[in-house]
Amino acid sequence: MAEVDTAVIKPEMMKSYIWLQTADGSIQEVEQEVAMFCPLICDEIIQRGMGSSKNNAITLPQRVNPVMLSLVLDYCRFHQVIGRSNKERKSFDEKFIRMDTKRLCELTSAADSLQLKPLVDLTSRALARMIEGKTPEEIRETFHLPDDLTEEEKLEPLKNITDDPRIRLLNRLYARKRKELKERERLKNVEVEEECVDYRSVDDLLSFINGGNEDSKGVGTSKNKKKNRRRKDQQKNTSSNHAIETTHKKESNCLKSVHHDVEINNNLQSSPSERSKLQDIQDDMFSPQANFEDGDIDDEFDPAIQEKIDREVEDFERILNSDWPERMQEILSLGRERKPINGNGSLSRDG
Amino acid sequence: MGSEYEESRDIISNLPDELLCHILSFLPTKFAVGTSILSKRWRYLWASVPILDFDDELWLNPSTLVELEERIIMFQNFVDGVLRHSEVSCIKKFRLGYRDNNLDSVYSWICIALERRVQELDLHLLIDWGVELPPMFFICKTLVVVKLSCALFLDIPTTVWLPSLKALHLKSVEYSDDDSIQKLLSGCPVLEELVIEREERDNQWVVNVSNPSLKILRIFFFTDGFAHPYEQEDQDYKVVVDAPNLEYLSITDYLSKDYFVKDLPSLVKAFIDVEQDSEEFEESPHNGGISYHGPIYELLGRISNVKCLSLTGVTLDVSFLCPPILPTFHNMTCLEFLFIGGFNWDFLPNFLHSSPNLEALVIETVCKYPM
Repeated sequence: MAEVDTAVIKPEMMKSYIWLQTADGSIQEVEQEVAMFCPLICDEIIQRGMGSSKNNAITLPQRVNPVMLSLVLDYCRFHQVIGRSNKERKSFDEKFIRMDTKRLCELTSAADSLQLKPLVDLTSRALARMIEGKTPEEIRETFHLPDDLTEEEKLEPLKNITDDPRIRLLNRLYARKRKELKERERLKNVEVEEECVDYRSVDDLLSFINGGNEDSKGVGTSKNKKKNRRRKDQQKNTSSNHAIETTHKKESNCLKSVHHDVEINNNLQSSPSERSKLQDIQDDMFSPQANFEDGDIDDEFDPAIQEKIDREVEDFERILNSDWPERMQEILSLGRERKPINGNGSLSRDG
Repeated sequence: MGSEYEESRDIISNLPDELLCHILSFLPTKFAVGTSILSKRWRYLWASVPILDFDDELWLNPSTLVELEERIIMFQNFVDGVLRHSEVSCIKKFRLGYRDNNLDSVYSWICIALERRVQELDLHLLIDWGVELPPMFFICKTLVVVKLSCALFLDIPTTVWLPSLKALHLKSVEYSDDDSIQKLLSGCPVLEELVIEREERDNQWVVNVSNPSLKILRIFFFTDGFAHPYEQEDQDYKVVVDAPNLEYLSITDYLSKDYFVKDLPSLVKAFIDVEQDSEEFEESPHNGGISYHGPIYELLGRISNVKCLSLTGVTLDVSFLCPPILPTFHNMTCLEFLFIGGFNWDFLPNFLHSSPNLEALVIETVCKYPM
């Protein structure tokens, strides 16, 4: 397991010891073979010749206090023995990891500073298990996290990036593509659904670009709340699934108006958010929801407007061409032309 | 004291970003993204996690009331959204578990992952028909591990160049013709591990594995229990292996008839679990009696330089009538028999006689076949 550099010659009879100093100033002696299991200490010994005496004790990183050092060394002492079976090691790890959360976090930090990757992975996995499948309140309680996000911030999962025209265009193209796909779907289906009810694909975009509700809880949310409740009831309305018509007009309206009332999660908005499981939150967060101002809702799908929007999108597409690598364009248009795409250029993402 | 005290108890948030992202990387992306509403500190961390693990199973929760189609759309929107807003330009691992028949989404997601220099690609699709891989997949410079499972149709283009690919798992994949696997392998100069789990009617009669760098080869081929159209055909399933650097060979195959294995000078360990046709018996003047000359014994002959050999009861089952002619296993130090049910001791003496350097003999009765 450990890539211990065997250039260090160990006396056959006696174990050699190494001196380590923790941030609080205390110095201790540790068996060399155990300490060498930590890459950082290994480097100090071999490359810098440190640790051979009390005077040139190896100074350990700040995050390694005596308690943590003791734990780390326990881990090293067990795992540096070569003959152990995988079963034994796993069994040891399972018992070793049983400690309170605070200690687990400190140990992760200490192991990380000593570059002891197997221990970092072990503790990280344990911490991940404490997060997986829990509600936000449960997680906050486990780790004593402050509940310092505003309601808007909780609704807005990401930075506000409305300003980036590329993202906006990306979203348009996605929406357009999705609309095409849904149209294909619809053609397959017998029933023709109502067109004006569902704006899912647009919401979908908005839930990312525009972020949370422009209207904070206190101001003019009654409309939204009403829609929330209505939508909640409508959640079971599956008919709208098949007939998702993107109304580009709404799209452009909403994109232009910043922070338009996007309901990412009606559950979240009314305090039950805290009670709902993380799973549900995620579902709702990214699910498209109908939530436009009344003024926008009544639009039928006007072919003339559609044309206009198409032209607009095409214009943007041309602009896009000059900004982005061609490859990205191909992805967005989801064209199936089998042009060999050379190389594997990276998608330039400037944050 | 209140908030300060709380702050001092919030140890985890003091960990550096990289460590928090590392912790989040062990979570399915759904839960990683969910941490964005925990606190200010956690709001944007998920966007830097280089491992993306999407499984629509987490959305298809039968206990909730939302309809299946809605769930699928939610999932698609989620994946789209995460891909759009992830700030990771080099994806370490992209895993997708998906069971909807909307293949356009999958195609675009694969494209995006490839564009973002993905190193490990793990696609587990349970859909009715094959999804094709985008052309850029076959010339991707960054792929190191690829696991493809279920209903993927591999139409291999003429140019395949995967210069970083070290491990390839193909499970229940449908191929376009007999040359598919070989075309793929010829473009993998550093491939070390190949795992093929086959199904019948995948359009491969001859599995041709030829690769100079290959170290580990595992082949699985079972019947799927349905009627076999191939039985009417004259074609037999065959396996051909030409991998001079192979160190580990594992064949669990109940359908192929012939195994042509070229010399494997580096072979250390082999696991052979194959079912033999009882029609391979013939008269042999040597022993003055009936002996078995099936392909399995030719195979054993080709791998006679192996150090550790594991054989299952199924492999040896046919020869209960007469002792087989075995090659001498000069290097063999460890011999293992794995049986379900009874053990046939008849050929054990033969094996012992053929293994002059044997140090360990293991006989194991198992309830399941080891995979």
